[in-house]
Amino acid sequence: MTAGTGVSAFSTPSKELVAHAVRELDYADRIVVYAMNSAVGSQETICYSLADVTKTLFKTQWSNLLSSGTKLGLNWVRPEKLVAWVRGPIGDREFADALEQALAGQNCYRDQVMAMEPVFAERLQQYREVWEADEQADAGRGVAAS
Amino acid sequence: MATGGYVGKILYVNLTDKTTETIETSKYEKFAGGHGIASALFFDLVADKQIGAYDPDNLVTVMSSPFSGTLTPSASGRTEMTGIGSYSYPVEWYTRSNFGGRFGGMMKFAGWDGICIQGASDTPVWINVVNDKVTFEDASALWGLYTDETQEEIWKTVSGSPDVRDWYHLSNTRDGGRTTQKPAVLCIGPAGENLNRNATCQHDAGNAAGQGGFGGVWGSKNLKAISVIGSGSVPIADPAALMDLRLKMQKESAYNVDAPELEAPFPGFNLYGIMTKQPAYGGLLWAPNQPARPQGCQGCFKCCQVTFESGIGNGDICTESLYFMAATDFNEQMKAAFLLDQVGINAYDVFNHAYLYGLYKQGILGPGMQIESNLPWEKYGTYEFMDAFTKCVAEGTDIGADLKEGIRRATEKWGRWDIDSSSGALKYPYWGYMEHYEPRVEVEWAYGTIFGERDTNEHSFNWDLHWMPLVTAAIGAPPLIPAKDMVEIWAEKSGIGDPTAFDYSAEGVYSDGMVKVTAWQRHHTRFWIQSLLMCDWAWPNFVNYTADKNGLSPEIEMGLYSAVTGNPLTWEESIQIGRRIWNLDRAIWVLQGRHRDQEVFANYVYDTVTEAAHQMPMLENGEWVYGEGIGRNIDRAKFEDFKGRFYAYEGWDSSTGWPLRATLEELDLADVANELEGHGLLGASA
Amino acid sequence: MRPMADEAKTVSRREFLTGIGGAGMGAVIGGLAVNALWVDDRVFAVEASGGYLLVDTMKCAGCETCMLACSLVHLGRSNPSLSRIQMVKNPFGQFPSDTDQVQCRQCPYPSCVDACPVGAMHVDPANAFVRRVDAAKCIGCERCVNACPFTPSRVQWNFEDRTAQKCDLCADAPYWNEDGGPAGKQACVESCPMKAITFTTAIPMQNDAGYDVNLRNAHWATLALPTD
Repeated sequence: MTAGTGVSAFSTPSKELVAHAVRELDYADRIVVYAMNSAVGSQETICYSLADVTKTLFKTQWSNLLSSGTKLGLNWVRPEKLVAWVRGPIGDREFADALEQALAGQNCYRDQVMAMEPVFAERLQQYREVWEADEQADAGRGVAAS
Repeated sequence: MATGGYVGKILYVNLTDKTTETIETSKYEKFAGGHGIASALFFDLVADKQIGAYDPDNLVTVMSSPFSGTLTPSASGRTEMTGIGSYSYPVEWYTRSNFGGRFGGMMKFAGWDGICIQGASDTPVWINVVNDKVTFEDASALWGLYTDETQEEIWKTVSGSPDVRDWYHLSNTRDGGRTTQKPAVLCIGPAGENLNRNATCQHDAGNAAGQGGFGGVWGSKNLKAISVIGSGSVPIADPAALMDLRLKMQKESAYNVDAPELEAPFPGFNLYGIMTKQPAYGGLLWAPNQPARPQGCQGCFKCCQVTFESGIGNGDICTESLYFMAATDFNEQMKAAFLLDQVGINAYDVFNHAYLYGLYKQGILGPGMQIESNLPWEKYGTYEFMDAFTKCVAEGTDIGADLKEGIRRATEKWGRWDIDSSSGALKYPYWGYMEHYEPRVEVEWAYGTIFGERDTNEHSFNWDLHWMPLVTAAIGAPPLIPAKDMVEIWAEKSGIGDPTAFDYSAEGVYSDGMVKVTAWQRHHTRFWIQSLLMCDWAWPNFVNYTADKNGLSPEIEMGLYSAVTGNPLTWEESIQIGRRIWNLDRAIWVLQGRHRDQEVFANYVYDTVTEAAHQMPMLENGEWVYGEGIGRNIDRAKFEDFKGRFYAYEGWDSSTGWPLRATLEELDLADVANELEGHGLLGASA
Repeated sequence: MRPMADEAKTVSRREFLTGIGGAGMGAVIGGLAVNALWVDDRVFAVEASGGYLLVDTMKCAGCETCMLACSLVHLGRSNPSLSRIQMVKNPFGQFPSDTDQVQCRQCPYPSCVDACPVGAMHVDPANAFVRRVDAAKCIGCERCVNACPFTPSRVQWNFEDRTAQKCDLCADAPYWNEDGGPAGKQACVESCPMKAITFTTAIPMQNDAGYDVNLRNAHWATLALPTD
């Protein structure tokens, strides 16, 4: 959302875009997040989908705000690489642009992650709304949910 | 007067004959304790060093230190195990593993500084030690049980289940000793029984002798468990001095839980615990979503583990807690970690499920594929998959038939090793062990491992030189101690002297200074961490992140040593004893066939570059910074050159890596030199 | 104040002794500053102790430091079996019942003192009436060990020195450079790395399970651990 306006910065994605974006990727299109943890050092976490990345990145317990399902390690990805991945294999140019904008001027990793999280939250919420609307429409037409 | 800290006897067990003997600890005191004494016993009692891990003549030693069973801070709880391990590749090197809890202390309360086991039983057996009474018990009813079930059965058999909280009489006489404590048990699970190379020995909840492959060695001996219960006392030379030093440590260098001087900047940001030493800060992926307590090994002042309301995964805060990273539920994450404990498998070896899923995604592994597997790969990322995967490795079924040999041997068999270790898809860079911290940047760890025989797993430098700058950079805070000050403290306190030795820049990692750093760590840890058994999550305490930047080491170690043993010891002497033990180990590996040509990393270390930051101190344009180390690799030729200089520094033949006679004699190891010479394996020249 | 006088008229001495052995008296008078208990002269009367150890069972990390410290400062050697405070645990248990902390409660009515036939186990007026053993008088009958109403008994049989022993709040801790006793410091309190043990002069609120103690403050919450 553009702050305070209640208006999304994104256009509504098509169901084709959503289906493409949330799919499980082939091996060649994977992205690696580095889970940095005092027990084992940097551990590669291979992510094959947006869901994998979201789950991996956005639960580091920086503060009390993230109260359920919080992580005690630090999961790191090079932000430019993440943006390129969202633009490329995920195929959502608007999402990638919004991430790039959110990242501009952020200097430390914590700030980068905290800037990216609301962008992820908003776009994924849109995906979900499109997906659910599509399923309801299918149900209305008697098409089995896929 | 007997040296304080020791109880005077080592139990020697002949499992073939089911007999025991007593070895006087005093014969081996010059090797300090823990690993040192265990290596000396191995050298003396194993005539043919070339036997395999599963040969009955393999000697497995479980050893305490003078500090075990005392409140020497974070130096009582760990116990060392050595022997020929089944895990390493291509040679089953004589190796070590180490676990937390209370086993070493309990051995001493029973009157034993250590237990060494040779031979093999023809039927499943467990060793029952009740003070000085040692019996061999039939383990057929325990065989096949998980490690938690095994311990629970043994507790019930010896002194009652843990729900029975009362004084237990160790004999039927009034003065035969009593305790409220349950036996300390060390045992294997189904993986060890199946002779898995990646099998562990487990103790209490969440403590494992994980690396090295000792679970399979025990399995080969038909040894299911050792249980020890004791009621005796550990003599202390100067008790008041020991108490003073313990309280000093807690006051000046520990986390004050009620009024911490340094606290995590955000509540629950437990990674900050690396600097604060706060309790319960271990490696969990998810913060506990339920009530919990911190849990500490015997005599610890940090208490990094956790015990949960669920009771699932108690103590599992280390590597095993990260086994199921895809878990979206805390209890599922811990259930997967606990399952590893239960079957007794080394987490480092089975983290490779992510790599295997990659092979599945590429159509190389799966039903009807080149690597046949009918596991539910389509459900990868679920607990159902993790359960099936873990059990197939423990049982040796499906793909587990190959994986029980360890991922290094499995990928060799599949024809995948060369390609995947070259690309970095499989990061097992040294002796078949999983990468642990970035080998292309934090080189003292990588070098120490390749010149040794296993993942060193020694966090000596790692907390201060790597983690503190990483954590502070991640939150945009200045480092708690600037790089220049840090390297100066480390150079001065270690005795290395030259701060530039700690330069981890692209050129610094090949310097003569880095030779000294690598060698120093080998010597320091062989004495203080692996023989005196001080926990590497607390020691050495060179740096303090609260008031003054300086920690209490090395003076406090000297004080603790003399308070417990009654003997004086200088820092230089301690490093020299460590050097003695390190060279004894080196000689054993040479007798097993070690040559410099084997000491090379997997290809990816040389041929690919780092992509993630790995902060370390670096000199850049004459200024000390915590550099990120991105885009780094190890240069083959430069490492080979470094190797020769390292050998020369250690007093080894630079063409072979074999110790020279002069070096061994200087270290009071003339008999070791003689044995090497008898096999034509003595170093010829520096 | 005479809280038990009416009951003392209507129950037998044995019943009275059993009933108030630890919990009953504490539940009635816990938290009050009572220096002496008035009871019917058929019943054994002693001064209340001037000091008690409180252990927050939820804060304990099960590290055994208290046990190692206790034996060290009292006997000069390290041995949990000879510690006057005990911690027992089930490693696979569920928090908070996975561990128990077993300290002497310096009972207002001390069964152990009453049981001793020779006055070795006594109430020490020089140390705020702490209940303790005079080892020189101990004849090793172990009646005190058996008389303790709690399980495990808070009195230990010291099988190496052949005497009964129990928590004296470090009144006699010769292997320590601090002054112990109710007026001084206690080794377990000082050495516990979680600060889960504290000393108080007031009789604690208690029940059969133990004292009601919460020593965790807001800093404990920053560790993602419970404070209630």
